[in-house]
Amino acid sequence: MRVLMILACVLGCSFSGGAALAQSGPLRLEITEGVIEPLAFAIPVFEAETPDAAGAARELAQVVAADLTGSGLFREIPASNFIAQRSTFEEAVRFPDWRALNTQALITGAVAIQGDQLVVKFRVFDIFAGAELGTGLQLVGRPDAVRRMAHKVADQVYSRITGEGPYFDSRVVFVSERGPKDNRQKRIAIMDYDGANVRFLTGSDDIVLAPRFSKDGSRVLYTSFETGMPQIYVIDVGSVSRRNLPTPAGGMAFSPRFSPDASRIVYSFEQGGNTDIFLMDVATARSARLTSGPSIETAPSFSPDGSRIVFESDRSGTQQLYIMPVNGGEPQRISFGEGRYGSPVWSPRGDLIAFTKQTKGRFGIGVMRIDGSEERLLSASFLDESPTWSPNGRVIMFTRETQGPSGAPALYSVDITGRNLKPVGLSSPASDPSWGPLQP
Amino acid sequence: MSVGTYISVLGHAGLIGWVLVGEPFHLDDPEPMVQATEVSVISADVFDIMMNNTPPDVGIVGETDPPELTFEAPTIQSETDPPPTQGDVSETDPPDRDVLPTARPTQLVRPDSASLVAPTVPTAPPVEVTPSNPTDVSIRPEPRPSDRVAPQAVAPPPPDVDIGEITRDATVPAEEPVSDPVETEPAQAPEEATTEIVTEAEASPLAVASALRPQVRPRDFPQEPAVEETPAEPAVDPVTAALQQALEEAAAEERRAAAAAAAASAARAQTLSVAEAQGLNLAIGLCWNAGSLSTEALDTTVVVDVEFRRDGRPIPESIRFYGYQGGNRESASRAFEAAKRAILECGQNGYELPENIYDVWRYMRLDFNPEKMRIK
Repeated sequence: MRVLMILACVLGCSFSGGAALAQSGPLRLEITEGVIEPLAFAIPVFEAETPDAAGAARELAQVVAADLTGSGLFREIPASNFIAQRSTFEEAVRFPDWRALNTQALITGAVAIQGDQLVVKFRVFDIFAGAELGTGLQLVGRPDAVRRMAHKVADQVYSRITGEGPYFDSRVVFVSERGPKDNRQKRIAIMDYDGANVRFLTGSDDIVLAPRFSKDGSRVLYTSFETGMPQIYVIDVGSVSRRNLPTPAGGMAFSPRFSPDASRIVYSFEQGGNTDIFLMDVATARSARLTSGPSIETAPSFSPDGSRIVFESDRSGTQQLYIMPVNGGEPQRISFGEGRYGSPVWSPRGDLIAFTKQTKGRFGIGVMRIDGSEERLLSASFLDESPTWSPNGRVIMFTRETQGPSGAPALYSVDITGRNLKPVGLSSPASDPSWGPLQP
Repeated sequence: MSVGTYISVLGHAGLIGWVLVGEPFHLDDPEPMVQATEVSVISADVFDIMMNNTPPDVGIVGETDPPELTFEAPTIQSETDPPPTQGDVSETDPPDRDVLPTARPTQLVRPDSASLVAPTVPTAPPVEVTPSNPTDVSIRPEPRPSDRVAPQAVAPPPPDVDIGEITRDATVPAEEPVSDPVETEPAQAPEEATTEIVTEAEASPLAVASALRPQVRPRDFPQEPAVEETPAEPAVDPVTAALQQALEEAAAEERRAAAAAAAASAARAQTLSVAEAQGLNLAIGLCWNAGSLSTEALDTTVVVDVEFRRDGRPIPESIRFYGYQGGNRESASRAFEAAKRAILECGQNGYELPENIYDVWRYMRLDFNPEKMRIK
């Protein structure tokens, strides 16, 4: 009987969870039920304030809409549904017309070409609040930089509404592939985050692997088989000049990454069948061994503050993730789930680590806290690998390879919520992405 | 020997053993339910003699001759019963002890009469006219008209809150004309109330139907956070901003006073029922879109003050950022905007709230807790 009474009490208490809370002051109520869906926005074609800006105005609105929609957090209301037709940028917003469409955000803009400069103005309105969200901004750039300016506008809108940092105006370096599977030509290439503006940084003569951006985006590290043995190279993105980094002789160096301040490079070095992690001082080109032992340690990645390194090791018998101080020391294992963990990458926010997980014959991309807790898999397929973080730590891009003789790698992205998994708009096979920083 | 024999031997042995040596295990016999005692029965005459000490009005009882006993042997006529006729006895096979029954128990069949029927509304239980304990039932007594209680009209008590007489414009121009959000409340009870005697003793039996709504048991609620500044507003002219700030502060003070009075009234009277509160939770939640919030904003609980019109529509200008828990100021600002959008979007046509207790829900403080929508 006593148990029943306690149970009844517990049930009674739980049922009162959503009820009004009796206390002094206004009636208090807890709202706990919400929805997770993209926010509806409208973006009429930007006003062309000069006749020669009409094309840019159209393209700007299209790119901004594509950026926001592509994030998975926004949903565009088609222009054919619009009730209110705006004619000028300064015209007052008819909020009731937009409310009738359940529009939650309205983006208006104007474009002008003044001399050799493209001038873009925009405003964001919260329709149901009936007020402008933030203040209007004006951007000035080259007329041929329409897409970048559109990304800037989209970044502003995205950050104002979501509170996340921006990431649209960023670039990705990757390995572009061409040819049959048994004779692939691989080149280091760079593109906008959305797959536009692809440029090649290397030729197709040699096999190249694993390009990695420096934090400021000015340099790229990669591994090349130019000498027949894998060696580390660094390439200057602006001048496209490259040089070989000196590593210990008699072995293979690969999997390099810059430290956050770009003063050091951590990489893997294989010699005599044993692979360990080394740390190179860029100024002196001297390397120091961080790990030792018969096991294979590789795929190192710095924490955002540069004080720790996460890497994979099979010292426990299977491939697992470990964290150690930047100058070496006792590593601490953080992965304990089933399967094998590899290619860890520390989030730019510092709170999560992305990794590749192999279990039950399939590969997936996942994230976990830096203490190994709250592991979540975001994707799974025949072969998903090589994750990289967006500058704001909200999106992960990775390589997905399809099965079979005609299988080819492609770049995909996914929100860290696990939603919005989609391919990056590239027309040719690609792999090994590395997301660069937000452009200035 | 067969298994049955073993079982029988063991059983009997156990029984005999229990009889012989099981005395210590016997429980004490309970006290007999009825205690017997020796009694003697006396007649009424003897009782009278004992009481009056007088002999009964009867003759002396002499010895009586014993009755003559005659013995006659009864004649016994007996016929022997015919022996029972025994039918044809055929030798039957002994039963197979270890053979399981071949017939399986049939599954119980649901009787036809058990078909589902539509539930019927139970009739209301008889109403107890006179409750055994008047405090058990919240009965609203039926007032009866009466002469004025006081021989002279008494001046109304001073109001709890001194409301300024300055008429202020709306702090933020409303896009669409809005009705006056402040309902004029009577400063005192209506005049008729003083001409009636209200007493619990004359409660109508029907008053049970108008019993007070059950008060929701308050649950432990996090301490109110420190009041944070409202999110940054768009840059405006400094003079206008200062004027607007002053007006907002005055309006906020006025609202707080009114909210306190309303809350006191609510505390005395009623509050939203669990179903009504849950309904409002769901109604606002339909438009509370956390899908476009940052992960930090999803870790932030924002507290929002809002005033409603009598038709359930929120007053846009009244929606204010009260405070937050978790996250940071930036995430709280984004979370507040999402909450504000939710209140306004789903409240366009008014929330379904009981108009008879408008004073209770006119001012509300809403905690938008995204716990259920966080990334896990």
